[in-house]
Amino acid sequence: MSAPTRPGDRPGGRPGDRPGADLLPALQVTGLAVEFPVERALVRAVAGASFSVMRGETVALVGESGSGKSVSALAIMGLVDPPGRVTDGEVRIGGQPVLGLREEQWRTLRGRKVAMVFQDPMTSLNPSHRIGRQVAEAIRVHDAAVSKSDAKARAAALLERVGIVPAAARARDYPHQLSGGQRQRVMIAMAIANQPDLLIADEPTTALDVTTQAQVLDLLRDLQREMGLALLLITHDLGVVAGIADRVVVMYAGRVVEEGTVDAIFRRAAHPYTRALLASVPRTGDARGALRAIVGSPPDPGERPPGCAFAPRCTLAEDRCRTKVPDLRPVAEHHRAACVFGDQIAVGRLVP
Amino acid sequence: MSVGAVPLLEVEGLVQRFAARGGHRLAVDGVSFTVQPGETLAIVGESGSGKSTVARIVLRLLDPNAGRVVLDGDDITRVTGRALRRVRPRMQIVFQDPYSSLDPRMTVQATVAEPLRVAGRRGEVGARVSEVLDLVGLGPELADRYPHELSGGQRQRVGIARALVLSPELLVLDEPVSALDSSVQAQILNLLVDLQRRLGLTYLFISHDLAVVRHVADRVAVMHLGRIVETAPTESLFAAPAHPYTQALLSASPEPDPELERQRRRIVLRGDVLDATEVTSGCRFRSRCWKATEECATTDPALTVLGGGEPSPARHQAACLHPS
Repeated sequence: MSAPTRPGDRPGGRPGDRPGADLLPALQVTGLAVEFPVERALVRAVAGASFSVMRGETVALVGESGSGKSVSALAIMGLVDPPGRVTDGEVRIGGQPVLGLREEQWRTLRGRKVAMVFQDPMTSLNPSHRIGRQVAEAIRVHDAAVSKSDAKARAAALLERVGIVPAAARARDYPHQLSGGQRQRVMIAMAIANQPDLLIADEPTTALDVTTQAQVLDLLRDLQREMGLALLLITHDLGVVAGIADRVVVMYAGRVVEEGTVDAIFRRAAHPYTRALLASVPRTGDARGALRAIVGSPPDPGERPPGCAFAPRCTLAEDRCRTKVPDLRPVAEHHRAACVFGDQIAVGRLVP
Repeated sequence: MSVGAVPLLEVEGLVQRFAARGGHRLAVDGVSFTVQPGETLAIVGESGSGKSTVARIVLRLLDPNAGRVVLDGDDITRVTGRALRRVRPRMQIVFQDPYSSLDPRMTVQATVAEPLRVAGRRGEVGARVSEVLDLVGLGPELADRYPHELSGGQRQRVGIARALVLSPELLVLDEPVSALDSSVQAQILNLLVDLQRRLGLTYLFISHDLAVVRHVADRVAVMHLGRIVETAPTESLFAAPAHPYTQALLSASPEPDPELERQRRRIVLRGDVLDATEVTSGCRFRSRCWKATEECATTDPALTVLGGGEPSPARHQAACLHPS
């Protein structure tokens, strides 16, 4: 982490830019913990997660239900609703700490610095407004200086860019007149309307058919390159990850268990969970035959075992795994795993 | 599977219309297939393909506008009353979502026993329920639990046990692993394959996931807008998909392998799926197809054996004027 800088240190940047912002990660999450009260107990949905996303980089945050991946995203966006709360850690967006910001401070960040796309666009679109108007409003909410007619023109250009064509005519459609894939395109148009540096997409294609999914992933990939976006893609789908991510962060039971480049994760995974997960996924290129299943299921957030949360399902687990949570430590350059056997698994000396 | 044996399930010329704005929508439009005893036929398709409607017709949950469903030689398309009650136990369904398909107020024991009670076979409940719980890998200590006390995988095992309790011959599996965590999917798929072998079950496997289908199916039928556009033995379909839609589906299915993903030349389809109401002639895929010609706008292609010959379930067939 570089030394803190004061706004206005150096002239010449984009207005509102912090000096040296390009060198800072677009997103830096350190030791994030989020708790929810459930039936009088406190459940740690996220129990100390650290990761970062650089400008122009696509990072996949991978995990199953209960892994804490979506709660992490909400915490980053300042959207954890009480009684849930962030109890520990730090989140910096473009170098600026954002935890504890007031709602009006968030308003200057959301849209312009960071934007989010959700799994189900219907929950975020207003069913009774035309989509052109909604995109135009997304522009004006974050930039009141834009006139109504300018916003309308920019909305049409954005719709065109995300593939809603002919944009001028389609802008008059209501959300229910669009297919699921088109609605997701509209959400993406709204998310990029104010040119954010960081885009967080939470399972953006999970509800879509596979041919539509391919189109939307292509769009995200193109936009990411065009705009130099930092893209944090939250997904459970390892196939999607393989096709789009530069780096992968694997979460299990509220913690990051492995982090590395996409090739390191898929070729030289160092955590037994990552290995087992990759081995269990059916592939269209495989011959028929029994799949290598993982025994058991992920623990309930309220009933995580002490020590390594994967130990009850792990073929390598020893007594020490069941008492102490293993640290996330380097197993190779730019590759870290939270397993006491990580370095041996990474080089294939130990096979879970 | 011996070719020529009596199919356990035979479906012929199914048509299902639903009322829609400005007329009707053909959800299923002339679907025919057979499933041999002990075989798994997978029906693959995207939303709106009609695959789930076919499943509901087969199970007699929906009366088709045309066509027939023959179970083990008996036409069951229009049976009602007592005759239908005799048919029901022979075919059962496993649903996609074990969260919403189980009654939250019923224990595992009560859930699995219910079909026996409804069938008036209360006397068998005790022995039979523990037998099927054991079959699906659920310990007796789980019998008194409620759905919310179970994991997703355990819930789906309960759904399977409930479907098995009446000793059906045919199981309709409607996206049985789509709602499960990825680390649990493989367990359930392996269980289904194992149960089939042990009990001689016949599966109609409905899915959108080609990778899953590859692992469980003997044969595959690909549905698109109410029609079967390609059908073949699994190996043949994956080795040499002939219909452009099947090729697009396969090419769009993401593989968990970054090297493959980088090399792949993805076929990205134009536009969205046509509404079946909009199609009055020609091939329904043509608006998204890169091979479409003028002929495709006028000629509605029928399923044809590739390379010619008589259609049979073992042959690779496609409904396309320009198959690969």
